[in-house]
Amino acid sequence: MFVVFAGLLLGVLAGLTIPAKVPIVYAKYMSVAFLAALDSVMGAGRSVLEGKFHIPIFVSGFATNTLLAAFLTYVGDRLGVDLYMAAIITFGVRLFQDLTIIRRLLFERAARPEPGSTT
Amino acid sequence: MHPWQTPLALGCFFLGLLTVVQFRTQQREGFPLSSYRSSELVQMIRELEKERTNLRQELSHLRGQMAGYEKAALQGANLKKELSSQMMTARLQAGLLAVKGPGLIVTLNDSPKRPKTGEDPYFFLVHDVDIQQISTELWAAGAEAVAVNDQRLVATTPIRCVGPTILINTVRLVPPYIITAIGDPSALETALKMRGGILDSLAPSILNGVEVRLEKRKEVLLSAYKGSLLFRYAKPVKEGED
Repeated sequence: MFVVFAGLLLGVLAGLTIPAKVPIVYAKYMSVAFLAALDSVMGAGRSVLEGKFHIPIFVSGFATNTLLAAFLTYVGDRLGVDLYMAAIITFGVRLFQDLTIIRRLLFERAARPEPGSTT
Repeated sequence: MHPWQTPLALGCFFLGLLTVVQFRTQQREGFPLSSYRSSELVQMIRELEKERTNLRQELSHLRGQMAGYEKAALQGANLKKELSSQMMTARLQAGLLAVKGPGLIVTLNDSPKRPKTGEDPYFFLVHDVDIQQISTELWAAGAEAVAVNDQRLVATTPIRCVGPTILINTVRLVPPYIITAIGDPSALETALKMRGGILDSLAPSILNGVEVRLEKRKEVLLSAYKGSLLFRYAKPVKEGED
């Protein structure tokens, strides 16, 4: 658990130290990438609790989700249609679903602690 | 250490990185102007106007210095007097010299009456287009220098409406608007009084009480243009180059 928070902290520190220069034109891409990252982390948390976590699935999911979201944003920009909304809504809905499942699993676990579970 | 921890930590790393970078980007870009309250905007305008006044003082100071240098350069190089007179003509044409001569004074003022219900308030006020039309008409009638409320009109002078005031040469003017022109007084007056001309088109406003007064004068005095004459984009083209 500690390693995960260390990763988050390192990311924040890296973000603070690098001279961040993202032009406002790419703000859409940034928001989509941010949501993809948040979605992947939540999804991973959920699958860990469900005991179904597989590294290849996590990594490939992260990559393909981000790429598809970026592609949709780009195509939407070209066509003048806000396609990136599709990515934002999908990620947003999934976030809430994942959070619900994580919450349920945590409560179930608190009700009857399983020996040897990963906490 | 569980096998899921490393990839999840990596995911969290990207999450933190993206969050902070995006946050900093938003902070750097600041909020759009429209999210400011109008009182803050008014305050900003006041401060900018104060700054402009200071800059204008500095400008006139520097322009005085430049005139001195020009004089010294002309004397030092021992150039012909013709060059100096050419310079004088150019400054005269650019509106950088105070000038006097016979001319016409046009006084415009908003109507003292308030529009009754159903009456268009447009025809109770003096508008930027009125001043534009009158000044254009005066130039066309051979005016050699025109000023509105002591703001000399030069080649780059804008005349436009800003709220209840009219902006000329970055200065906001309030009524009464006094347009002073140097030229043949009767020619200038005739141009404005021409049938179907500007006075005719102002007739509905005049009926509502808008003041339009023409006075021919033997001598009027126009001050010099005080604004900036900075050309950042336009570059002169040498003869034969175009």
